[in-house]
Amino acid sequence: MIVQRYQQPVLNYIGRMVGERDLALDFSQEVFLKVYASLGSYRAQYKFSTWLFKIASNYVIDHWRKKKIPTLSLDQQPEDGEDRYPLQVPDENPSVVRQFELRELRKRIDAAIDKLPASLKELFVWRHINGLSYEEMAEIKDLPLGTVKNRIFQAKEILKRLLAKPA
Amino acid sequence: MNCLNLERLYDYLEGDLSSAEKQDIESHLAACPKCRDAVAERKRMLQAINSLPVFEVPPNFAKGVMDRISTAPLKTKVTIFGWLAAGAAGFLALIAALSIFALVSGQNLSLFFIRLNHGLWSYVKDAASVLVKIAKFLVLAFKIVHELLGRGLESLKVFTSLISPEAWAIFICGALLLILTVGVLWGRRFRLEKHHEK
Repeated sequence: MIVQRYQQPVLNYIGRMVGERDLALDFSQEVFLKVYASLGSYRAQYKFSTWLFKIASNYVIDHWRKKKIPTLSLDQQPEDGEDRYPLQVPDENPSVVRQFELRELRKRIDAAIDKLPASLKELFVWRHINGLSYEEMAEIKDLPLGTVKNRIFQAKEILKRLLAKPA
Repeated sequence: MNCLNLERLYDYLEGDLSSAEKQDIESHLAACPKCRDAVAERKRMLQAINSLPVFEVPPNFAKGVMDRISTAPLKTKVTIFGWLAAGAAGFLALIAALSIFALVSGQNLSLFFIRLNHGLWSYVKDAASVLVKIAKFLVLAFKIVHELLGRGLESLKVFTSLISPEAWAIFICGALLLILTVGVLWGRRFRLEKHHEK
């Protein structure tokens, strides 16, 4: 059954995107209803999970638009100067990640993921929470593969910087 | 080998490199403590990210979705064939209803339909004559407007031929100045109103 098979990945994705479990449950339910209503437009040449995540992504973006939460366009460069990184390893400071135990680190990662720009967060969540391939993400968002890889790289480095800041 | 490019570093950590590239990086890491630290730091971060707890799905979630699917009206797109079929079904239902009405009221079925047809035809004829009258009126109205516009244009031509180019230039400049003044005053008033609102 479709719902049972995909409920966990959809809830994980929406949960990380909206940050509230109850809201995520409501949204996940709505997404499955939309999927059911649109089954006629599904084409078998596409992977079902790709199609489903596309519907879920559109639903989340609609929610942000209605709430007027600013989302960063995928074609737009992040404005914050901290979001741009030199490609060589520059870090002279002692490792900050070592200062935390795994549990503490998870809490901080959760908070840091929340702070990511929406378009980077979405790709990051798909990659590291849902385990989607770069190719699948490129197809869902209709973006070049290189852009997807670069966005996820940027998301990880922003997270690293956020985690390096004192709690 | 130079210090690691950060993107390559993530490729290494996620196992996206060939064995030769991986070996190159490992031999560099053995000699470079700075890169070793950078790798270790990001490795721990990725491990923590990959082990984040999942959102727990309530046991009745799927049932809730299926209940809503079974109760919610399904919005489907109606095709042209769907509309044609619905129209044909409606027409047949109307014929059936009229036939039943004729039978129940004790009328001859064929006579009933002939009378009905005549009645409908008279309505169609009336409607057609009204439409023809409306069309005639519109054509007449168009002719009058056309004539008036033509005369107006002629008068304008005569009028413009009487005025010299210098007078035209003065007139246009004056009009522009007037528009500009009105615009500036309007803008000022608007700003003042905004200021008072604050």
